[in-house]
Amino acid sequence: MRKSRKVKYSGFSLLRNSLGSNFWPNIFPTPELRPHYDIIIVGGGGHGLATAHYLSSRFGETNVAVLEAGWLGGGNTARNTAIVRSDYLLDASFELKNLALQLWGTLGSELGFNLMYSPRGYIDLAHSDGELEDFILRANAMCLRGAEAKILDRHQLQKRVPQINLSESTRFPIVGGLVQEKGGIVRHDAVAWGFAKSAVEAGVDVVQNCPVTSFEINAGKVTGVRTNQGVIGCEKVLISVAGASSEVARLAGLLLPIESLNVQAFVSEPVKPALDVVVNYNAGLCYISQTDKGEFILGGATDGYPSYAKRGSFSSIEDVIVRSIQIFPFLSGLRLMRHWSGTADIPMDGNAILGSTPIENLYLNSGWGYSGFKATPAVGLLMAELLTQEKPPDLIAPFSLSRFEAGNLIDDSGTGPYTWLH
Amino acid sequence: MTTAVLALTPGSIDVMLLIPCPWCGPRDQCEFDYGGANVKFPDLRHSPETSIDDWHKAVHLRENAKGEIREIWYHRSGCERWISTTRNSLTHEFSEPSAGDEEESSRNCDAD
Ligand SMILES: Cc1cc2nc3c(=O)[nH]c(=O)nc-3n(C[C@H](O)[C@H](O)[C@H](O)COP(=O)(O)OP(=O)(O)OC[C@H]3O[C@@H](n4cnc5c(N)ncnc54)[C@H](O)[C@@H]3O)c2cc1C
Ligand SMILES: [Zn+2]
Repeated sequence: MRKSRKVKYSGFSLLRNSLGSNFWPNIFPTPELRPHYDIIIVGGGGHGLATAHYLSSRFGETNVAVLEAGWLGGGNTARNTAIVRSDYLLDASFELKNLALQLWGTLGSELGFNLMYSPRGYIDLAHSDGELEDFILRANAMCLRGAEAKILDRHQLQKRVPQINLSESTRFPIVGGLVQEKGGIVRHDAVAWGFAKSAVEAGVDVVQNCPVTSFEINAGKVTGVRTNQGVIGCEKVLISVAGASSEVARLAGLLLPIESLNVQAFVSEPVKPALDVVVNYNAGLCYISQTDKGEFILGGATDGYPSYAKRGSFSSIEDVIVRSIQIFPFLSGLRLMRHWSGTADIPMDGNAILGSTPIENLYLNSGWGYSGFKATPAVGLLMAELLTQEKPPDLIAPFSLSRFEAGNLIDDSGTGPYTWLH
Repeated sequence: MTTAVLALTPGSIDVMLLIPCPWCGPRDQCEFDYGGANVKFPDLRHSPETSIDDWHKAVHLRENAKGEIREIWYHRSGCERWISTTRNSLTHEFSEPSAGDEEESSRNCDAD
């Protein structure tokens, strides 16, 4: 069996390789597929690769394949605005994201890969006294569960974010905010590559350009997958395909409570450091941070209707830009450099769907919409536990697919079954 | 500026959805509110044939096809009617509204 060469990155290796010729080996060689695996993971985004990493590193399971239709982390992993935080109100939502936030802290050294986790703080802006009351409720709930959260009044907000426009003559004046200092940014591509490197070194097969086109299902039990490289047998399958969840589940005859919507993001030209925190504007939606390179990254809500086009309406771009300029008027002087879209899988209650399906040995990690990047390490760990242990982990129990039929929805925003409003 | 002109050719890259309202003609999406998939909901009156499963299917489960989908829109800044459309979720192209669509639109309107 092929064993990939272990690569250790260090200051020394960087120096050596930048001086002479390039000795960096290919850390993702194309593996030869085995006829049978214990576990097949469909989808080589951050979530699928994290699952492979934890399967091998925590549960000693290496007879695993990750099958990716395109290239590693080329889906929403590469398209998100890289924000991590755990400022959620409902227990189930909070616990998952807070586990992830704890894992982000040490993940870089665990993987031997610089993920550039930058806990620079995440600030949610309130635009009315009522909204601020709501934030206080959320901050208290977070503190009670052992996380850190602080409410900032206008004065404190101005001190924390000197450039913020607190004028009361704007359309939606800002009255305060909730700050979680451990929230921030993680380098998203590095997350996919770091997890993949670790899994490959442990003996997992990570296969690119290998779309799963159907499932082998016998007597209600999945026994393999069909790909462009033929049929591969397996004991268990995890579907982890984000925006393609409905399409892939349909191959197994499953209908999901999910719609796929387009979400856009943009970056400006780079300028000198001006913003050292992530800021989220809540009248409508606009989240802003500045990268280490100096670009401002902007994101907003969905385009408002189902779409697989991976390109969106100009009206959404305008919405986000208008809001960003209300918070930081100086942004109007910058030009946008790049703009892209991703397909977000949004369930009817806006929360993820994790766990078993009506088909035996077929498992699902889906419904993360445009908020699943922050959860990546927790999802990986919990999916690995789900796939190897008798008892499914407690943290994912509330996120079962069957919760919809039972009426146990986890609707953090209280929006109802309208995916385009979540 | 050839590229910009090319980019705006219908069917290539849309600036915004152009929604064919059967009453007002093609109008920009910003005049509309989205109403979701065109779902036939079970009878609200307690009919013995309606089960929890029927409601689950109508409220939660979606085809979410990568291709043609049937949906409803509210023409807020126009005729103020609910209309039903068929749109391709991959290309954003609308199929011509048919007489059946119109009939259905007015039925949706009544139901509202
Ligand atoms: C614009 C935008 C901004 C976002 N911002 C944030 C943010 O700031 N913070 C946050 O927490 N989250 C954010 N998200 C959400 C986050 O990106 C996703 O929830 C997360 O990346 C999903 O993780 P993934 O690794 O499973 O997805 P992906 O990276 O999309 O991985 C899924 C993979 O499955 C593959 N696949 C699909 N079909 C098949 C098939 N048939 N066979 C094999 N492989 C297949 C795809 O090619 C893809 O690579 C954002 C999303 C978008 C679109
Ligand atoms: Zn009209």
